[in-house]
Amino acid sequence: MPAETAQAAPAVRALTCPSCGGNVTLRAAGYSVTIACLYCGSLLDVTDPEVKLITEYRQAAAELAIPLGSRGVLKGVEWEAIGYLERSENGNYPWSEYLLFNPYHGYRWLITDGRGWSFGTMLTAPPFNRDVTQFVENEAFEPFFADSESQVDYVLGEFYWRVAVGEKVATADWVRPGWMLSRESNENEESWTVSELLAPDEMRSAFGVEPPQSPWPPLPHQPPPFAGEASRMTKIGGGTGVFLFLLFLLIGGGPRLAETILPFTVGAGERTATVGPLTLTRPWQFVSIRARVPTLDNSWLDLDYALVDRKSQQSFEAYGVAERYSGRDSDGPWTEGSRGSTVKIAAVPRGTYDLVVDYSGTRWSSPSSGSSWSGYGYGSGYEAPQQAELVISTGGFFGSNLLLALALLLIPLAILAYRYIKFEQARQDQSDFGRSGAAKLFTSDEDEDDDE
Amino acid sequence: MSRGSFLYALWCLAVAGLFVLSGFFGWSPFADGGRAHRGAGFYGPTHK
Repeated sequence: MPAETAQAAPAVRALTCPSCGGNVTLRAAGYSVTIACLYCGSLLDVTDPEVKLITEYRQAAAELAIPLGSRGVLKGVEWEAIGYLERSENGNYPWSEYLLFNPYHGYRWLITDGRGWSFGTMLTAPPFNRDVTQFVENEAFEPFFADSESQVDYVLGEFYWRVAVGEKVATADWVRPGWMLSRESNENEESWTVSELLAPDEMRSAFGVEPPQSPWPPLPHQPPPFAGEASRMTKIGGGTGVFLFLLFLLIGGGPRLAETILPFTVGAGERTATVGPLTLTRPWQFVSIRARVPTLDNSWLDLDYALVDRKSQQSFEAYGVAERYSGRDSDGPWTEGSRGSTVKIAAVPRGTYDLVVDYSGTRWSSPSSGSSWSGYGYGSGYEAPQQAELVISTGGFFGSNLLLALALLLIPLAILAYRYIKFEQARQDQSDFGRSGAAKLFTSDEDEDDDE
Repeated sequence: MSRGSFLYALWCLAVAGLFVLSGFFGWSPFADGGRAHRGAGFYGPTHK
């Protein structure tokens, strides 16, 4: 992405520090205008052949993560660290910048605030903008840090401008995943730098620096560490879900084994019916028994099922009830319950079966109907005969199992989505522009107020 | 394939395998068979 400028290879020049007499090597002679003495920290003007002392710093040289003069290969080019700056926003949010130099590729920056390293290149032309978004080579950068002022707190090494402690510039930053675009300006000039977040391995192999693996809060331009993985996992989970759904549709159901009518009269006592033979052909299957009473009202029908193997007399038992109630109160008419009942008996082995059904209908009397017993009780008077329709079928896959499987597939993806949202919230909470996109999910009004 | 994706693929394989196995045996944790008789329970509308 960064533009590069071809430059003629400069000469290396040896200087003597006028402050301490130390030998200082100027690595970009002809380009650098100032250099800080490695031994005493004095700032020297190297544009004068006599080398003038600009400022003497008596403070000890910093223990640098990358000693000046060390070389490392980044992006296929060998760079030498020649300068070091410590900067901050008026003492807050400090960060460090190393000036890198290669005689054929010019200058680059290594920038860190302790949470990671970025490789910065100055742009030779400013980006173009559309509203608040900046574009560099058609890549969009969204605003992250609004205009603020940064200052130089410490300087060591050599630079291509007359850098001084206390030097201030106005800054603003834009980000896209993995990249940051920074603007620095003063009354004389405006410069743009685009910096790429380096992988820990890159810094380790280039300069032997061990960056933190999982900085928190994340860097402003840090992409979610599981972004690519989430896409792959969604495809894997989606594919598995579709496969299970097709399996359910294609081979999940089974034949209807029998249909019958069970006549009954509410309050007339228990009756028994036997339905069979029912032939089950799969090694194992479930048996579904669906009962429906179209005329059921303010009563219930108890259904006791026993699925009995003719050969072994092994019995599978289940219980169902159809109950339907209705009435009228101060809120108006109401209904409750269902005229149907479906039960499923699981894991029934192959064989020939009879279904024995014990069933009885009972009338419900509401407390307001004058019954002597509150809650429910037997009604009195004539009851019309009713019919329960019974449908017996079989199959392999439960619909509930499919739902359970889909939920299990979704759990890891939901955890990933939660982690993504938390990551984005932590990242965007550092921004001067607040949360956007997925980070706004689960954001309370209090969070919004805190951001403002 | 990353470690996370690989582990998730294993998870999907296990879920799909259990689903197929449950279909083969016609089994479900939500099946009604074998439940206790409800005769001792409460009948009638519950919202009134």
